[in-house]
Amino acid sequence: MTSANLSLGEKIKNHRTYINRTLWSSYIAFPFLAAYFILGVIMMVSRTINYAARYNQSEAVLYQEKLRAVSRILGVEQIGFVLIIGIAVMLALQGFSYVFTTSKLDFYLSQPTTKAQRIAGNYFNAISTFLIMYVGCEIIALIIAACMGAVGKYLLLSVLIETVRAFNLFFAFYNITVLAVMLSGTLPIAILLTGCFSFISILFAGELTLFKGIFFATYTSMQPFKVIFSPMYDRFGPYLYLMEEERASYALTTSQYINNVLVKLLPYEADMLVTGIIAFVFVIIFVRLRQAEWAGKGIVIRPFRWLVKIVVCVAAGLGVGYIVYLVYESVWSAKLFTQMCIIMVLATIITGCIAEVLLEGNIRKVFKGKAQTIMALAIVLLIFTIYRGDLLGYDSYVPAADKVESCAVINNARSFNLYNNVSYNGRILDEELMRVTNTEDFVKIAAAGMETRRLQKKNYDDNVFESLGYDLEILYRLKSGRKIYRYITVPYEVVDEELARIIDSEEFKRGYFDVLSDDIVRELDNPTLHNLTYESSGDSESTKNFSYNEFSDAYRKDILENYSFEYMSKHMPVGSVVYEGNSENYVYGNLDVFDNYSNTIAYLKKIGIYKESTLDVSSVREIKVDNYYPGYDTETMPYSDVDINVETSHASYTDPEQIKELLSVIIESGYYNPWFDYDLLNDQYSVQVYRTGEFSQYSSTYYSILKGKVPGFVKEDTN
Amino acid sequence: MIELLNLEKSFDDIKAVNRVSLNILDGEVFGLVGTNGAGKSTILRIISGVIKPDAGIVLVDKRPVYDNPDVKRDIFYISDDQYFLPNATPEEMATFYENIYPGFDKLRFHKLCTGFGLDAKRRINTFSKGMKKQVSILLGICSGTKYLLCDETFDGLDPVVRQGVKSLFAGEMTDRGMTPVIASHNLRELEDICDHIGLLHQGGVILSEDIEDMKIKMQKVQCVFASEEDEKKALEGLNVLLHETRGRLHTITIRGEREEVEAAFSRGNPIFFEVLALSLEEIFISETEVVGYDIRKFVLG
Repeated sequence: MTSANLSLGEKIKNHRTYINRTLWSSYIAFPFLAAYFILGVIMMVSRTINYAARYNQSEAVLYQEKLRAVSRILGVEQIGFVLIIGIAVMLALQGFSYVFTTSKLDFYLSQPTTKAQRIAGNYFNAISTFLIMYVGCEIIALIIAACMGAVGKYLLLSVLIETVRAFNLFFAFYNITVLAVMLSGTLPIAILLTGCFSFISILFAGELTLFKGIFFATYTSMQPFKVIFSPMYDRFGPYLYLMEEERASYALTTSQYINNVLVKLLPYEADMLVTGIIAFVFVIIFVRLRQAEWAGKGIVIRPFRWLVKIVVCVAAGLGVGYIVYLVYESVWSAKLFTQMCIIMVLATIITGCIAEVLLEGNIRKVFKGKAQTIMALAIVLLIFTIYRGDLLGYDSYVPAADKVESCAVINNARSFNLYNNVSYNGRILDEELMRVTNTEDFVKIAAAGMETRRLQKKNYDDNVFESLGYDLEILYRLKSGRKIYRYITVPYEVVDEELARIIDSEEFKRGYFDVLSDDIVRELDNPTLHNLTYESSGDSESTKNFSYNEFSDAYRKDILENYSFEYMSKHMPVGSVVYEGNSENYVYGNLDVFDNYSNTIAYLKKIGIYKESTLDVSSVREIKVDNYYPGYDTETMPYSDVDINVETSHASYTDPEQIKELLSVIIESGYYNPWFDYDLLNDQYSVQVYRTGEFSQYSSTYYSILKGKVPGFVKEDTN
Repeated sequence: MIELLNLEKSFDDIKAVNRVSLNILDGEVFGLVGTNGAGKSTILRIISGVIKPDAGIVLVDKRPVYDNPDVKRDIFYISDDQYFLPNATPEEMATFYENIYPGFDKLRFHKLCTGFGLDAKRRINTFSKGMKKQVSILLGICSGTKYLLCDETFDGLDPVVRQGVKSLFAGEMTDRGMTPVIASHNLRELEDICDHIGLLHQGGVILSEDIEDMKIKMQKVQCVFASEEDEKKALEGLNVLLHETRGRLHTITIRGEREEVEAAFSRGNPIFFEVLALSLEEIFISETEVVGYDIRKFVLG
């Protein structure tokens, strides 16, 4: 009997034997997948149950935690994607590695199939093997989760989304690896190429982003790191966001969670899918081009070999350029750019030589392929020139006001920090909370800020360190949907009117002060487990008998009514309020108080913790003054003429008359006010005030002396 | 029939096959002879559709072979370095081929394995080189293909197995008209099995002829003449390819049919005259020396 009479069942059985013999790596992958999914769910859920029992968690909290536990294994936050990447690479290498060996090629290519049938067969075998393993383990894990009461509607949706993502990831990595196989003649080269395809776009995006930081004065790390055609980045990129989203109170119990996740993931998944499809198209092209006799060669297609060499040389050239910057970062100056360029050129040439030796496997070929090295060199120099000369106008780009939908100033100085029981450090402020629509004024400020920033950067490169204005990170939301971040230095006084209109607006304040969006703090506040402290002039007072809502209302009112650019530019805070919430979640807030915060001060007085900021002579035991540059007067001479290595001189005052005079010319310097004109202060001197009474002998408060008001006796005693 | 017309194939700067034209007729055992690197394996790989020629035509039963599964179903290629699925047993390989070749006869494969003393359930990677070759040959025979391409397949088989394989080939040729194409660097190995020989050197075909035709057209004579005059009379008009003399004993290789040679020698009235059987090796030495090659250097080693 011949095989022409085989039944379908026998054919399937025979095919299974073939799969067993050709994709045996799936036997290695399967136990790992099963352990991750099945044991993972059992362990995570049982851990959650034990935790709930120990800490008397409510049923509702336990259910939420169970869902989170399952989601961390099966949902969009899972880390099992590392296994999926491994399986995809392994199956692709195993399925197509026959192209590296003549005997295997003879075996497979002499069989009665077409190239297309062979490729389709391999794809089918790999994808079906993966799906059977993945979905099988997933279903078993879900059944176990359901038995443990850890399944919900939105969790199932999350798992479904993750299954689609897993397939997308598998498809992308499988295609990338097959493409690498088709372009190489040996397994080691194929593995190297797979790594190269996975990381090259991240590497270039990283290098170019780092270069922005070196060359451009207005670059800010707020600008999102954008990488395209990198499934590796597409998977790792949103991971932190997903972990954060999973910790949200609404996670896995509302459709909002699913919506947020989908919105965030869609661009990444689309990029991954496109990458997978592009790789697949190239696979089809190179399968047609590939010839059996290429087995054993390094990189089989000459133009691609050139491309690999050029890409490697350029990546090395740029990378070494950044290393040069890192080495000299602390002493960086404009002159070092020339040295950086020379070293980049040398690195590119040397990499070209090494690449040639490795690709040819012959040290004598070290100077072969000069054309590709020269091309790489040209690209490296072009990139250096573009960045050094800012030929694309990065540092001068200011969008037209009518093209901007809204703007924001990023405030990284948060007032509140939230910690949950797993050390989650959350924040209230979000750049999306600020939508400044007065784009005309904003763009004028930005234009001046860009110019000043460039000047300040140039000064820094020339070792001239002087603050020329307010340093701000800004965001333009363009009508086209693009988001552009820049770091600017708004010059003092030049655009104060425009700045005042922006800062005094409610839309600015809503996005700048987290107390105006402190609903979560109000929600978490527990009247029996909270504390409010007011600190001023080295003194402080605390109470537990207060209402956070009332305090917050008063503070909010002051922000909206009394916070103005004009006032802030001339005054420093006089004290600060520290709020601590010690319920299940720990909340810490630190809010500065200005002298004109009448509502806040009134409330602090009402609850009995207000302290006057003005010191009288009787409350001060001693004042110490440090002069950092004795023999100089920085108010009348430029800093460049000052010997910064001169030894600091000290003076101490206990005479009431001298203390009185000093108290009249100093302001407390322990606070931060972004709009304060620090030019009003003389930073040559530092003042420490020691209080009388219950204060420690060593406890002091730091002050600064106002410019032009340094008492004569201080000048005499310290110079 | 397999037809090769002006076939060319280069690997980088090396011309592996250079304008090769050959016809392999159905039902005959075709031997491809040549040194290592002569192009034998390349030709077999082209015929089996593994590699695509740079130029020229390959037709199997008037159909192009490259990327054509219909044609490949008629061809089984046993390469010099046989590959088996990882950790597979002969039985599993048979199962694999059962899905590939519609004419594969698994039952016969098992019988043949038993006949050749091969354990069908033992892993092939534990087999000796010769045993692996036997498995390949049995798989090839049981696949039921019309053409069986063997690259150095007999190299490493012991004489008993070789004889058994030859018998199998003979049986297959008789039963279903199988056409084996055997590539080897060893003429002696092919002598008793091939009907037709193609001799390759440096990618080109030096000659391609039926062995019987060659033998009929060429005679090897041992004789002793009474005088030089008799010798001249006998050899007059004959196409002498080789002439060796030891004492008075002459060994002469002559192109021509036996009757023609015998008639010519009768004119010289030799004291002793005998027509000897020519080995394939001798035929090739004679033929190739005529066209300027010293075959001993590149085939006989």
